[in-house]
Amino acid sequence: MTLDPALRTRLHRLLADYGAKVRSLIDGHGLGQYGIDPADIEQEVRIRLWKALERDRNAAFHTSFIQRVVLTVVIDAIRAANARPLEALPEAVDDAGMAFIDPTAGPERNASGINDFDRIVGCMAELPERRRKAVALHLQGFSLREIGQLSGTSEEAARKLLDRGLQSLRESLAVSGIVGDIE
Amino acid sequence: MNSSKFGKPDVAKLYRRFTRSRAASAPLPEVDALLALADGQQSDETERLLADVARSGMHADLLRFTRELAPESARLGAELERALERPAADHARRARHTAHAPAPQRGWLRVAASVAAGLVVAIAVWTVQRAPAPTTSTAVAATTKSDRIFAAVDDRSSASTPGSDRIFHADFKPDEIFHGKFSGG
Repeated sequence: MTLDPALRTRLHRLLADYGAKVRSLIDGHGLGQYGIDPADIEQEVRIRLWKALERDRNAAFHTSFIQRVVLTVVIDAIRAANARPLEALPEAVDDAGMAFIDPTAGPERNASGINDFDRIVGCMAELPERRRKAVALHLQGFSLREIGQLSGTSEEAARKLLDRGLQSLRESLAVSGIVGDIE
Repeated sequence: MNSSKFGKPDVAKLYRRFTRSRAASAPLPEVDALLALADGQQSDETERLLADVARSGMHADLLRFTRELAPESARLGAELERALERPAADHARRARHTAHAPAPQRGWLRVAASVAAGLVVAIAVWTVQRAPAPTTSTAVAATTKSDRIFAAVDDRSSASTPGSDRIFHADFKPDEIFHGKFSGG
């Protein structure tokens, strides 16, 4: 594809802007913690989209195509990070473990954080599947509207499933000796 | 710290942190399934992926990332389309304009060629008119000398005139043998 210099510059600028947004989203969602470099992802996305433009300019117009390019780059990068030598894995585990460690607390208290998680998971396993899924998605940070869309139900139905699931979870946790803060 | 209140663990924070730390062991999602789930499609594949999202922080992060990526990708697609269609439309418009109206340079060439041709014709006419007209006798003489075929015909016709042809109009003398002047012999 032959492009005049002005158009070429404009396309490069569009891809650069999009690459910057992708990088910002990667940073915003904390995908860097899975061993990927947002700058590398940005660069790779720009290169692949430019090649796609050179190969077939119409193909690059579709939203799903652009998304597929980005997700392929991200998932491939995570896969490559997972395949790297195991030193990255203990670091991630340690980092995650630190989330439960209070520096001012003693070792007994810190160890209990991990135990708390295991008991939470155990209590959730007792919930009916639909409620469990609604509660889990809520704990992962999805809104009621998103839970409804992802589950194929209305927002109102998702709210009922979540309310009942959270109520059951609180009761189970109380029985297990955990008085957690669940909103 | 995991507690939003003293002594009470923040269950949601606890859950997210731990499910992220265990994400490395979970199978990575398929791109198509992730796109379908983000789009709200329902299938066995998206159901399985949703279960992974529920128990894996990494899958949940990827799903949120995918959902927020959609409007940005749509915007890029529209901008690329605009950028690539405008030059094509301009080119087509220029082509139409060229087809219907002669280009200025070609018009100049036509005008110059017409003027030059007219000038040549005018000079030729002027030159012919300025040249001296030949006299009639000169013209006849020139014609006679130049055309020997017809001249030969003229010569032949003039040969029939007496005196001009010595073969047919010779003054024969009588035969001396048959008309000898014998002297007694």
